[in-house]
Amino acid sequence: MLFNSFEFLLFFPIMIIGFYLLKHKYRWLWLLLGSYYFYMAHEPELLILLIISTLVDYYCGIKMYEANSKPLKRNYLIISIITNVGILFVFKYLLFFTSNIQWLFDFFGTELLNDQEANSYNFSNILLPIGISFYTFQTMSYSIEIYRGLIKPERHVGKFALYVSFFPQLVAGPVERASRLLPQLKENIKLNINNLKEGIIMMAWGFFLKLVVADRLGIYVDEAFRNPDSQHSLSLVLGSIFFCFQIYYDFSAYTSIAIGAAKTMGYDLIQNFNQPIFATSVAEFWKRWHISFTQWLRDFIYKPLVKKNRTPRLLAVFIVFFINGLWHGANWTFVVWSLLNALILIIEISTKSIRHSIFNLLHLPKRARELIGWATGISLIITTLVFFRSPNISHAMVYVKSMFAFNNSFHVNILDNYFELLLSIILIFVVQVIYYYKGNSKVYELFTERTKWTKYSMSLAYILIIVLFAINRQNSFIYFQF
Amino acid sequence: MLKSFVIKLFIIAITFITIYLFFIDKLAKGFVDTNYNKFTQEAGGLILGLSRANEGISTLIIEEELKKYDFFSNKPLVNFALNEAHFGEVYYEAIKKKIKTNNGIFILSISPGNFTAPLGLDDEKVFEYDERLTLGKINNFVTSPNYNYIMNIYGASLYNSLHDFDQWNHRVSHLNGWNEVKLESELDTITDKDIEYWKSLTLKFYDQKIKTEQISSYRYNYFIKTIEYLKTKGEVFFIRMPSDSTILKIENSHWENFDFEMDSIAKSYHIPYFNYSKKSNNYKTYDGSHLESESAKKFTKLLCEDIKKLLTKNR
Repeated sequence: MLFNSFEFLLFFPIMIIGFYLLKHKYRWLWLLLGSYYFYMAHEPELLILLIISTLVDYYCGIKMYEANSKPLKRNYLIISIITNVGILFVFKYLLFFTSNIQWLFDFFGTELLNDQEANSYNFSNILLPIGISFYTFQTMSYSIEIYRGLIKPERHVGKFALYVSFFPQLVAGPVERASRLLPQLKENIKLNINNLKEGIIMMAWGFFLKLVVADRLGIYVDEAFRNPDSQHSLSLVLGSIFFCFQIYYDFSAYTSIAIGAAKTMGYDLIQNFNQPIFATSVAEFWKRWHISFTQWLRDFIYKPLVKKNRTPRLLAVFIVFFINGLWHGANWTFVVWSLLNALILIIEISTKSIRHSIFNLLHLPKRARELIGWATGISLIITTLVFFRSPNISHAMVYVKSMFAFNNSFHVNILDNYFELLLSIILIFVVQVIYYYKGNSKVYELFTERTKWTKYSMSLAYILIIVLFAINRQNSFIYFQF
Repeated sequence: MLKSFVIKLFIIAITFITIYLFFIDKLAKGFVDTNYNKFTQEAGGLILGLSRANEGISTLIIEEELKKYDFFSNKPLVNFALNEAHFGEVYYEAIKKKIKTNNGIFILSISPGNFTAPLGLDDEKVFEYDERLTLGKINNFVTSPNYNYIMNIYGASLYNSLHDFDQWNHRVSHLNGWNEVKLESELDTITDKDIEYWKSLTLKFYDQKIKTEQISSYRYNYFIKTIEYLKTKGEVFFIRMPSDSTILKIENSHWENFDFEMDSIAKSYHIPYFNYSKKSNNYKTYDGSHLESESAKKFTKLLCEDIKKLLTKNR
C-alpha cells in the first residue's frame, strides 16, 4: 500500500482508532494484522517470505540465547543469515546473477545454455518483494545483536513479528534495531494529544515533500534521463541536480510519514536524515544520509572487518560500499555509484592533511574551507547519482558525457516550462531553509509554536498548496523498489 | 481536548475535500489534456488505433462526408485512438463501454505497433502492463465532465485550472477526440529542419522499441475478439495509415507478412482493408510518423471517398 494512496487515507485512521480503543494486551495483534494487510495490499503471496524470515529469526534468536557453546550460537546465527540472504538472493539477485554468468560465458565464446535451456531457466518473472532489503536487514540485526549478547531474544512470537513488520517502517525503513523498537512496542501507551499532533504534522510535511516537491522534480528528471543525448547540457546538469533533491525529498518524505505515523501511536522511530545537503564533505554526507542503514553497515560490516578480521581500512570501505551499492538494487549502476563514492571518500581521507596545509598556506577561514568542502562534495555526490538513476552504465556514460558537452541543441529541452522550473527552484529553496533552521526531525515545530489564528491560516494555506500544487499522480516512493 | 482535536481534524478534512472538488470541477470546464475529449461522450462510431490515427484522422470530416449514411444520427463519431491503445482486454473493455449504437462505423488503424508488448511478458503480465496505462486506470469513458478521468489520469497540478492552459501551440484538440497538428501557428512554423530532427528522434525511438518489444499473441487474440465485437455493432474498416518510408520499413521488419496476414483476416471477416502505406509520399508528416493537419485532412477525405465507394457498391 502506498502512503500517498486513497487506500492509506482510509487504512490509517482505522488503525489509529482501533489502536486506542483496544486494551493494551490486544494492540500487538491489531497492529500485526494491520501491518500484514498493509503489506498484502501490494503482493499478497509474498507475505510468506516475511513470515519465513520472522519465524526463522525468532527461533534462531531463542536458540542462540539458550546455546551454551560459541560454535552452536554461531550455527544459529549462520542459519539466520543464510535464510535472510538466501531470500534476498533468490528474489532480488538471482536474475542479475544468472544474466551476468551468461554474459561471462558469452564473452568467452562458450555456450552455457542453448536457447531452449535458457528459456526453461527464465527468472525474469520472479517478483521483487517490496521492502525485502529493509526487513531482511532489520531481522539480521536482531540475530547479530543476540549473538553478540547485546540484547535478549523476544519470547512472544507475535510481538517479534510486529517488530519485523511494523507497517509505518516496513517497506522503506528506517531500519530499526530491536533494542530500540521492541521495548516501545511492549509499552502501554496512553492517548496523548501531543503525540497525535506531532505525528500528523510530520505526516503532512511528508505528503507535501512527496506530492508537491519530489514528484514535481521527478518530471524534469524523467525527461532529462529519457534521452540525454538530445538534451542541452544545461538541462542535463539541472536534471542531475534535481535528481539529487528528488531522491532526498522522496526518501525524506517517506521517512517523515513513517515517523509521523508511528508517533501518532506513541512510538519513536530513528531519524534517517540529518541535513545531508549541508554536509561539508562526502564522508560527512554519508554520516547524515540514510542514517539507520549506514549505521547498520558500520556496526555489522565495517567494524567487524576492521576490528576482528584486521582488514585494511581502505579495503573495508570498498567492501562496505560494494554491499551498499548491491543492497540498493540488482544492477551494476548501483554498484558503480556506490564504489565511486567509496573512491571519493578514500581520496578525501588520504588528502586531508595536504588540503589542510594548502588551506593554512592560503589563510582560509573556517567558513571558506567549509564552503569549498560543501561545493566539491555536493558536486561529486550529484555527478555520481547519475549512475544511480540511469538504467545501465552506458546510458549513464552518455548522460555524463552530454552533461559536459555544452552543445547548442535546444530541440528538446526541459527548460521550456519557465513557471514550473521557477516553482521547483523556489520549493527546493524553501525546503532547505526549513531544514536549515529546524533540522529533519523538528519540522513540526514550525506549526506547533504558533498562535491559534496563525495555525488556522497555516492549515488553510497547506490545504491550498496541496490541492493546487501537488502532482496528481500516485508515484510510488523511489526506495520502495529496494 | 480530544473532542476538539477530532472536530478540528474533521473540519480540515471537509475543507480539503471541498477545495479539491471545486478545483477538479473548474479544471473540467476548461482544457484538461489532449486525450480528455476522447472520454466525455457515448459514441456512435469510433476511430481506433494508436497515435497515428489519433492525429491523422479527422472525425469532423468523416461526420460531414458520411452524414447521408445515418451512422451518427444520435451519437458522434469519436477518435478513440491514443498512444497507449494497443489491442488487449483493457482496450476491448473500454471500447465496449464507449459504444452506444448498433449501426456505427468503426475504423481500425492497424500496424505492427498495435500488436507489440514489452519483451518477456506473458499474457497476464501484458494485461497488468495495460492496466497501469490510461485506459486501465479509469472505468468511466463517457461522461462530461469526467471526474474519474481527471482524478486518475490528469498528471499535472490543479493550479492549471486557474489559467488558460497553454498546450503546444501547434496542436488543436477537437471535442470528438481528434488531435490536429498544424505546421503553422500564431507564434512560429515547424520548419523542414525541425521535421528532419524530429524524424531522427522517431527513428531512434523505433530502433529502441524494436529491441525491447515483441509481437504478442495476446494482442493478436484480442484484435480478433475486438473485430468480432465491432462487427455486431456496425460497419468495420481496416486501414493502414501512410507514414515515412523508413519507419514503415522498420515496422515491416518487425512483422514481415503483416499486410498479407491482415488482408487474410479482413477477407475472412468480410472487412475491407485499405492499405495507404504505399501512398505515403502523397502525405507529409511532422515527425516521420504522424500526419500534419493538411495531410490528415487530405488523407481523411480520401478515406471517406473509398468508404463511400464501397458502401454505395454494397447497398
